[in-house]
Amino acid sequence: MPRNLLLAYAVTWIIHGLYIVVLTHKAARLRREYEELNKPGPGR
Amino acid sequence: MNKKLVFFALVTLGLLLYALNQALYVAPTEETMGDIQRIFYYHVPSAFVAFACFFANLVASLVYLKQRSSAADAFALATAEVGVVFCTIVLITGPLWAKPVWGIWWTWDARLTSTLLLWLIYVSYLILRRFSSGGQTPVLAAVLSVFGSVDVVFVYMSIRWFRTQHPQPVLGGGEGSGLHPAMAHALLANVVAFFAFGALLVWLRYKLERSRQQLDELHALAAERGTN
Repeated sequence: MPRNLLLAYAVTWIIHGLYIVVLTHKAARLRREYEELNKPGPGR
Repeated sequence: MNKKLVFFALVTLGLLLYALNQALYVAPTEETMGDIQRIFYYHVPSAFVAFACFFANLVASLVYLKQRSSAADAFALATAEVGVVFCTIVLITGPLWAKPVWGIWWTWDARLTSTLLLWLIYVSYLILRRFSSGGQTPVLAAVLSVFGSVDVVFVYMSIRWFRTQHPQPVLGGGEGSGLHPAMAHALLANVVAFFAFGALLVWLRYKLERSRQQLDELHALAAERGTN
């Protein structure tokens, strides 16, 4: 198989993979923020 | 995670694997270009998904401008982001295909230049949304999207309006255009799989943005309680 064909397919999935990692990171950050907001304060 | 989403993700994975097999092993080898032509099965569907995302972004932006709906704003952001991801792939796979076939990585013809411009417009849209603060940001972004979407039409029509290094349309390009049935099947399989994958990414990104909007509302509410 030509090198550029493999590169094109690999790059496609690397970019999608990186985007999924970014989305997962965003989701985790949102979850943490939710938890912090719902944490009972010292006076409660 | 919601069951529908998991089911849809599994179906999409199945479609992508089937489409990959069609593209690499089942579709016949093109006579003049050889195996390198198989980039077509990723390059073209990625372009279709990018166009569809930018069109959906235009519709969501118009809905937002009319109704000021936060759901429309979240959908606009999700489609722009996913559109940029697919457009990036188009701009990378294109030169990887061009170099062995044309002998050059890039040329400033109407199709390639307008595609790069399209990418820059939507990257600007995302930068505007990321770094601009204040209540007017979604409105400004929606207006940018309305103007930016004009370039989608230009990119699509450029190979019909101008003589370009980029090939003339293979599908719907009039007399002499068309594909071998096995190639058309491989292309269709990849278009369906990429659309499903694009829809999945938009779905995930939309849900995240809606959660962020709710969180912002909760923060605002908490701040209000704190000051009263």
